[in-house]
Parts: sequence; C-alpha cells; structure tokens
Amino acid sequence: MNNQNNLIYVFIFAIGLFGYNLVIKMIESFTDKDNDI
Amino acid sequence: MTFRELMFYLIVALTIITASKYLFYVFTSPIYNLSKKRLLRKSSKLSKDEIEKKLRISVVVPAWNEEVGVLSSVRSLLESDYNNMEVILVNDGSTDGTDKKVKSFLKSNDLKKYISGGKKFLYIAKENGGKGSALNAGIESSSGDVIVTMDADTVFEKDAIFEVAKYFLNPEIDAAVGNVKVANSKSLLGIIQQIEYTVGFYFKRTHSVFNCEYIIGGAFGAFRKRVFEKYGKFDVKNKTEDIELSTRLQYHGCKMVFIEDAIAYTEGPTTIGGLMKQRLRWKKGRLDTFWTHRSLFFSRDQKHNKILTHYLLPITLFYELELLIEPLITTYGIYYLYSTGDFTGLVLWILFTGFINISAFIFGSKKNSKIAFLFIPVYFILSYLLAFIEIFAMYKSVKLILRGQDVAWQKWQRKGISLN
Repeated sequence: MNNQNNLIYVFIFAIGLFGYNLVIKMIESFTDKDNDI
Repeated sequence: MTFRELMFYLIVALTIITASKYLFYVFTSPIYNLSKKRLLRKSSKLSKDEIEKKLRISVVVPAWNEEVGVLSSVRSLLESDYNNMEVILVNDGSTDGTDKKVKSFLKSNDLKKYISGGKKFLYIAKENGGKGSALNAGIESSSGDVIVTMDADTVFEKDAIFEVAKYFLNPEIDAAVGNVKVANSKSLLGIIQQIEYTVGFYFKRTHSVFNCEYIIGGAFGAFRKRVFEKYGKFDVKNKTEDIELSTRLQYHGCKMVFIEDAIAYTEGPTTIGGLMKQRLRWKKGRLDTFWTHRSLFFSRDQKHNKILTHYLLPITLFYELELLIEPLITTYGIYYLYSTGDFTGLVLWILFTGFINISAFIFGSKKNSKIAFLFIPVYFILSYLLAFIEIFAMYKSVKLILRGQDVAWQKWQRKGISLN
C-alpha cells in the first residue's frame, strides 16, 4: 500500500511538472501577443 | 551507530540533497523564455540587416593537431548567415597536417566562394603555447565588438552567430554560452553524452535566469571585447582556461547568459579512454579554478551573485567530493538490493529522474536528439558508465593535486563530424 502511494506521488510530480511547463508556455504566448500589438 | 545505519542515513541525505537540487532546476528552467524576452527587447525591434550593421563579431578557433575536423569547423562558420564577421584560425604549433590543410584551403576557390558580404578569414600560425595562448593570440588580432570562441572539433549552425548578435545588442550582457550538442549518435557512448549534454544545457537556463553561470565552455563561448580589456584574457597556465575565465568574470560581477537558440555540435570522445582524459581535465581544471577563486565561496561581497556563492559553487564542490565515497555507496546499494530484494526506492528514483530528463528534452531546445530521447528509460543504468569515469577522474585529480602535477591539453582520436 505504501509503495503504491509513493508511486502515486511520483506520478503526481510528473503531472505537476508537465502542467507547470504548459502554464509557462501559455504565459509566453500571451506576452508574444502583447508584443505584436 | 552501526555501519548499516550510517550508510542508510548517508543515502537518505544524498537523495534529499539531489532531489531538492533537481526540483530547483526543473521548476526554474522554464522561466528562461520569459527572461529571454526582456533581454532581447532591443534586438526584437530591429531587422537582421540593422543588427549586422551594429555589431561585428570575431570568431576565434584555436587548433592543435586538428587536421580531421578543422576545415569542417571553419566552413560551418563561413557558411554562417551573419556577414559582419571574421574567422580567426590559430594554429598552435600543430605537428600533424593541420597547417597543410589550411594552406591548401587558403589557396582554393572554395574560400573565395565564402568570403563575401564583409566576411573575413585570418590564419595565424604560432609556436605551441597551449589553448589559452592560442585564444589570446586570436583575440589580439581581432577587430570585432564581440569575440566568439569555439573548438576546432565543433561546427556551428548557420544562424548561431546571428543568435549571439541578437543578445549582445543588449549592453547589459558581458558574456554568453551557446547551446552545445554532441554530434556522435552512432555509438552508445555518444548517446550517453547526448543525454548528459541535453539535460546539462537545459539546466543552464536556470543559471541564465539567476545570472549565476560560471562555466562558459570552450566549444561555444561569446565575450564582449571590453571584458578582456577590463579583466584580462585567458589564463595561459590553466588547462581549463574556459572555466577559469568565466569564474573570474563572475568574480567581477559580469552578466552572463545562456543562448539556447545558438546551437553548435561538438565531437564527444568516442572511446572510454578518451572520455576519461576529457573528464580528468574537467575535474582537475574545476578544482584548480575553485582553489584560485575560493574567495567566491560564501562571499558576502555585493557584486557576487548569492545563488552562485552560497548554493551553486558549494553544492558543485560537495558533489565532486562525494565522488570519493561513491564506490562505497554504490557497493552498499547493490548489497542492500540483493539482501532485501526491496527495489521500491530505486524504481521511484529512476522514475523521478526519468521524468526530469523527459521534461528537459520536451520543453528544452527544439533540436534535441530524437534518438537519445528513446534511450531515456535506460539512461539511469547507462549513466553509471559515466559515474565510474567521473569517479576515476576525481581520484586521479586528487592524486595529481597531491603530487603537484598537471594534465596535458585535451587530446583524443578524432573522427570528424558530419551533420548531413
């Protein structure tokens, strides 16, 4: 059970990491649009 | 405390320190693109022609017995889409066919084809004095506002110099490091180095964001010329003159950035022996530099970057010294796995580092190797080959330091790079 929990934490970390990168990418694209204007 | 308990606490402490280091890097590296926009604000308003008119770039290529790759490097520079530049090749007393090859290239029509639109090619042949002295000879003959240094076993992408110029239009920037990739992908050793470089250079984003970069490698570095006039040129006595110079620039509070879009391909060592020689030079040079600039460690001087002085330098030294007890830790780790059959910790660690490596490949440079990406699931095992080489290099470095000896200029059997 404990092992399963640890595995879940690592996958939550992975999802968090990829989500975080995607959010930063979105912010980048917003600032690109600001520059275009 | 028993030996078993001691080893357990040691491994737990190392895991926590390494995991926190990875977390710091992996969550700060993505910010790089946002900080890049601020640095490029000036150049983003100018056309390529306008940028070219404002900035002349000199590329210095030091060569010692580089007959295999020297012309590929020179050609890659002359084929650059940036015209306001000069290429200065410095032959540091080569005893192979380097001089003959370059002289026949100088006479050929090949060169005339490249020299157009302001580009210049200068060849300096001097007595052997080491890489630092070759670089300094090139800098002294240069006419550019910015000096780019490259190794003679490296080739640049066509737009690499232009990418450098875009950054140097910002007067805040004193020096920069380009994005170096390993070209050899047909051997396992090449692929291991490709993954290592990709992740290592991805983490340079963090150094760039916090201005704490202290390694501008010889394969692709760029320096504003005034930096040499103010703080001196390359140290001719230091075998890792690149690390020494960039650490010295940090000491003087210079601003140094990473240019991810300026890409160069270098030839990584193709044999274990070659890799050992390279890592020995890196380790010994880094330890020498740390000793020279030891006042940077935990420095309270206002001009010194605190992340560099209080975190990056101490943790780098910590990992270097940790290599000395790594054989003990690895042996105990194998014994633990064998005796308990509990692989949970290992599997979790492989997954954790694996996801970090994947994010470096996916969210880093668009030109990361796709073949190397496929090897990430087995990289943990493969990286142990590198770990053993690093351990060997560390022990040998300590031995050389104790004996007061130095390493020779990096040399291994070159095969040349072909990007096509």
